[in-house]
Amino acid sequence: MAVKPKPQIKDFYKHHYRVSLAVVIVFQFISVCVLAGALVTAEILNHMEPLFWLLLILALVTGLLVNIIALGVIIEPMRAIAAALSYVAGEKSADRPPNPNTGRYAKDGTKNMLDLIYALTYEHDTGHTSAKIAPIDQPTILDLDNALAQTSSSVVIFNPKGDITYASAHAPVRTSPKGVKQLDLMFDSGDITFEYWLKDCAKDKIDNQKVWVRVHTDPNSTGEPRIYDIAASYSRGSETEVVLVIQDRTDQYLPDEKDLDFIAFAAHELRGPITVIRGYLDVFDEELEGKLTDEQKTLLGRLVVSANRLSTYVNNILNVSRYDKKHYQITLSEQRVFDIYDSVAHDMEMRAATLGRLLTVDIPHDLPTVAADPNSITEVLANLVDNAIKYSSEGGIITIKATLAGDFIEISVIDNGIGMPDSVVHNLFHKFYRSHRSREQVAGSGIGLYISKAIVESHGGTISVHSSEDKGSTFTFSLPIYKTVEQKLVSGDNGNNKGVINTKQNWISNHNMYRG
Amino acid sequence: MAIKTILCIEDDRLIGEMYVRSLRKAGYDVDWMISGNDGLVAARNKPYDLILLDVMLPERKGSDILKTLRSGNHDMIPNSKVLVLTNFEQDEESRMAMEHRADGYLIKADITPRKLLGIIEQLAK
Repeated sequence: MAVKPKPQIKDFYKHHYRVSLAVVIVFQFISVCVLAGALVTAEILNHMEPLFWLLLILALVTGLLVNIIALGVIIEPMRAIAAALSYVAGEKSADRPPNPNTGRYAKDGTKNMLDLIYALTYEHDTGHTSAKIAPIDQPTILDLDNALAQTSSSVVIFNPKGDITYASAHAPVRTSPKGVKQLDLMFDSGDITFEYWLKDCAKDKIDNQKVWVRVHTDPNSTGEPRIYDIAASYSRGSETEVVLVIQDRTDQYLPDEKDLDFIAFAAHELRGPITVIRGYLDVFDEELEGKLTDEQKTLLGRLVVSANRLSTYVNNILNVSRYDKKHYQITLSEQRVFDIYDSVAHDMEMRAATLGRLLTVDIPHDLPTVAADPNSITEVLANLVDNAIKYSSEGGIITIKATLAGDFIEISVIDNGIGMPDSVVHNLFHKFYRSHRSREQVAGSGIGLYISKAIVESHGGTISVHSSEDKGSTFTFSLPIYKTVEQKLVSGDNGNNKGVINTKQNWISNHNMYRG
Repeated sequence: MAIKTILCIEDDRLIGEMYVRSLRKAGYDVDWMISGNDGLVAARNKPYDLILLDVMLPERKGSDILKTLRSGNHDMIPNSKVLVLTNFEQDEESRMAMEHRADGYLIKADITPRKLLGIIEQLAK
């Protein structure tokens, strides 16, 4: 059996109104019937005449309209009182509680009743018997002032006129040229500003509380910028109508604010979906193994390659941003070129194969180890392979090879694509540089080579290009052989690369920025 | 050290679900918290073998959680490994502080569930 819900006060008025309305309608019908009887009995009109019916309908409509309007006016105070009671009873309602200060309530006397309902509730909830505060001895205020000055908290009090009547020592309050004290804050956090909250309170609240976090000082203010958490309390009619308790949290929040770097945030947002796309593609790759046709495998491969390239682009943007701010650092350690390539071999082969290029790799196992940051170098490789794919045609061959050259290992990415004239080559590593021809034919941003050069040079190597039109291009970069720089690395005497060799056991790191 | 129980603190439901699904499939006992405060409470109340910790979390940032759990000489989770898994590039100071207290610091976008399983195996050795 269904449980009957507890009757709500707000439903009383609706019910009462419906019953009253029904009574009015029934009475109107009765009146019209009486009128009809009178007309017929007095033989003024009989029911055969159209005028008889017209008169009856007119009487019915006019009577109904007048009585329904009158009903609304008569029971309005009841509506207001019921709504106020419903509000103080804590019932949920879409309607705002009635404001006793509305003109018509003052006129018809409902105001007194509404005020009483709200005042009784306030006393009941707070235990205050009066909105007036007890007088405070001056020494107490002084003590409190001193005590507050010792803390990072402050208090600001407003009177019912909205003037600041008290502000403790560290309160974010400034005095305008006219001598008026005002808050020196910009309420840019939270759902509403302090001013709007006050207006809301003045409209229909008796007492109210609100907390804002991370409120900054007004940027136009001359003082040092601070960040506060603020608790506000409103109590209608009290001499201290609004009290703000303000906690200075600059020390806690400021380090975070430094993190609020636009590019870092944009990258964070972009990387979220990339994580999910790459992750689930990998899950598919594993779980659908053996179930896909060759064509479906090719299509899945294209998705994987596109997601990987997207990830490379985001890393490029982040790295360029850090490099330009001189924040880009790398962690050098002893690495085998073969291992570095091997960690991304599958990705590189897929990138080439998906776009119909053949990738051949010639990296001897027995080359000396290099000093490298493997994650950065895989980014360089990805950028160079992507470039070779872009500037060659389908069926083209891309070769990656590594050779020993003095104190360095040289790694080359060779394509047999469209190549470049000499005039283009020397601009190639500039940021955002795109040759006239590539702007027309190939999409790209022009930051891949720029950041690759930055990465290679951070390793102490160089990057160069040899190209001839219609024959293809060869990009070559060099990395120092580990033995030649080992002494420097271990002693930490290498300027940029502080703490280069991470000896922490089980240390795993794949972050792409702020290396070192 | 064998890894059996894992606490994943991650607010992005799609990412969290992805990792948690794969970890559970691989036989790990995984609890998943989506807010910083819940994550901290869980980490304090149960000794997990591994905590996967996001940085940008509601209520309490991952860096703060890690600082609370492991600060100075006081390690509340001496038997747990911590892998920071984030897509957010922090400033160097914050990142170094997290790296110092954690057993790994990884960019989520580069870590597929399969890679994560490999890393956890490596961590358990």
